[in-house]
Amino acid sequence: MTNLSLNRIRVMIVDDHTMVRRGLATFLKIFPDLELAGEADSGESAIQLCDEIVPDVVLMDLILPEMDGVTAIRTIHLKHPTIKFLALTSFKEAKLIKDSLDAGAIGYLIKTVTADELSQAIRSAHNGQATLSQEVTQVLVRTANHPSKQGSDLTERERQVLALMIEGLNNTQIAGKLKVSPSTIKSHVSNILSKLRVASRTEAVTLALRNNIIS
Amino acid sequence: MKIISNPSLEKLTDSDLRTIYDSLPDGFIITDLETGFVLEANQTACMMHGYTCQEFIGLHITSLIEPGSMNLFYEKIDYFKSKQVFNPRLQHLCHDHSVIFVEWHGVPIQYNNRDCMLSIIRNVTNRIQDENILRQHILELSYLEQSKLLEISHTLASALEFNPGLILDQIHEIIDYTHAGLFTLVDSSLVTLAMRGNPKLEKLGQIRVRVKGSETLSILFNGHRPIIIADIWADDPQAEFLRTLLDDGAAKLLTGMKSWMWIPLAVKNRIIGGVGMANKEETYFTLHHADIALSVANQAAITMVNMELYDQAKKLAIYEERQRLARNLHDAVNQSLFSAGLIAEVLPRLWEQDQAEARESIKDLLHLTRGAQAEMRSLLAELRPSTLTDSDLRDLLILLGNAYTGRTNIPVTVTAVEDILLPSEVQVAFYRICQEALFNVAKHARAKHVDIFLQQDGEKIELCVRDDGIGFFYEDSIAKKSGHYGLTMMNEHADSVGAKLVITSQPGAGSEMTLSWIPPQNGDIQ
Repeated sequence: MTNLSLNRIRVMIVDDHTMVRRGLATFLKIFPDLELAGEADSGESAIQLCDEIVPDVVLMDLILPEMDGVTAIRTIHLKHPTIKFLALTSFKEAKLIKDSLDAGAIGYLIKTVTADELSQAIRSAHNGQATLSQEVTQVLVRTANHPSKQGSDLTERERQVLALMIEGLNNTQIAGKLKVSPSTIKSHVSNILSKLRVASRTEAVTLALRNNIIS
Repeated sequence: MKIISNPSLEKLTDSDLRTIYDSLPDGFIITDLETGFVLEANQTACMMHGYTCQEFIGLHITSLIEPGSMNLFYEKIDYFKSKQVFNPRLQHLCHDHSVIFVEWHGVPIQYNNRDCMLSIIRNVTNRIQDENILRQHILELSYLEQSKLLEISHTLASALEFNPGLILDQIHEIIDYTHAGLFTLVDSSLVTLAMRGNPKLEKLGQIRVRVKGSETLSILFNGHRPIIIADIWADDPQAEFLRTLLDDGAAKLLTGMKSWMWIPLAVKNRIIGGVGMANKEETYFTLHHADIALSVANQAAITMVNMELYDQAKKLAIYEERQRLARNLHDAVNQSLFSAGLIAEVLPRLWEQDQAEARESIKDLLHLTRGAQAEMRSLLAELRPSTLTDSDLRDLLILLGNAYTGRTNIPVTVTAVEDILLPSEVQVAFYRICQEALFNVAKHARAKHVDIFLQQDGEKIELCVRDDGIGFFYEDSIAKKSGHYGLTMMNEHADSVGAKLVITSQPGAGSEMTLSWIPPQNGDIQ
């Protein structure tokens, strides 16, 4: 707490829960280098308020009615690249974390964070340094170590079909091999594509070979 | 009368011939084609119509024809004149006015130099009556079958639980099998879901039949057609196939049996099981049996697949309910506790800084913890629905109010009478709708204060949730369906228990939701 009074960090709070905003406002009161610049209860009002007050740091809840926090971060970030965003949420899904960071958040904190940790994260954000909650780091590392368990939800039959696709057989040939109608195979193939989240047979086969989906 | 040209009969006298004609089982008539009078007839023809021969001979032939058959008679006579063939079946009128069915076989002859018709007539009344009875019987049988099939399809369609035993019982009323089993295909084995007809087999529990290879499977599928085996001990390939298939444990299905029928259960060309029926008689099962069984089997197959889907849907519903509770926990309790934690953490420092503010924060803390507690209690109540039905509605409303204040810091005043007795589903609806109304107020109204009233006016129970927020145009919100999903849900929920929901609001003048319920008048009173 070196730079007192004059250069206080102006913090804006975005959360749809009144009591959470109250708690955060109370929290800000005890740190002389932080001040409450404004409060918003939705993504839309956050965008508006940022235009008006241009805070230094925004504490952004991600799950908001109508416009969500990620969209709000992305929108404001484009307009005001100097504003720093700290996502403050109780969700730690890998996708949500990635989306927030992609949108421009410099930190991601879980709502188990203590007052001192939070104040430190605000200061870091203001200085352009990232802060991630311990749990968030774990989620990111885990996702990086296990890129995808794609294909784990394939049924036995779909595996058989995929194996024959790898051999280069077309639907009619696969149908002949498995003694079922080509339309049945067609529906298996479309299930396989959707489960592997790919758009074509070639992609499915490539993915299957690369990730050893069919042993 | 030289009508018979067989030379060996030439020696017979007219009297001999007369005796022979009279003793023939069929009637015998010679009719003058020009005048229409009966010129000659044998005893059988006369007696068939209840006349003596003196009365019968000389009658006009049309006096024997029942008026209903007259048109046909004339038509056939015209035909006879050109084609020389006369063989209609006509209804005749007897002397005593009774009606008989008569089959004619007429040929042209010359008799006493006149153009005549010689006719053999046979009374087929009994045969026709028998035929009618038989036809009626067949009709009744097919009615019986159809009604049985209909019953089975009702059972299948209405039962939430798939009951394979019941299906076999119902099939048994149409097809008299000695024993039958309903199989489902699980991991390349046919496994009995039910067994009927033989107590010993029924007691065995599940019988498993290993299906080796896709070829066996496709024989069992048989292009979605039944397989009938007249004699399972014969040398033909189907019988051998069955004996090979049912080896070891399943072999006892064959003991003492002779004929067999297999009905594949399939959906969209995928075999999912089958019904096997056995009879101790050879060649018992017919194609007709097969048709009936297949139509039952097709419905059963669809039901089996539906059951699978139903189970999945049930699991999904449980999953969704869990998700909902988790979301509520997060939305309400977790947020409150996070905020309370922050405040508690900074409170000592705040106290040193500014005691007045610190006191305010202590109040917040109190609200938050009370709110979180109320929130927890209402979540627990939802986890254990008996809490919702067993508690006094007033207490439940206070719980909702506290939880709401805890979450939003907006004061809620609950003014409610105690001991209001509502049917449990109505009480749950009141609770849920109040919860939803508060949720909407929190989300949209920006209210400073909320009132909840619960009152009883005669038999009418009325719940009112009123806020002093920004209000809205109710009509607009209905039109904007997507944004007010909650309102639709509230309406549906109210409808489902026969309660009335009225929402009134004006922009700038807050909003009011009134839910009223009156016990139904026609129900338990009489």
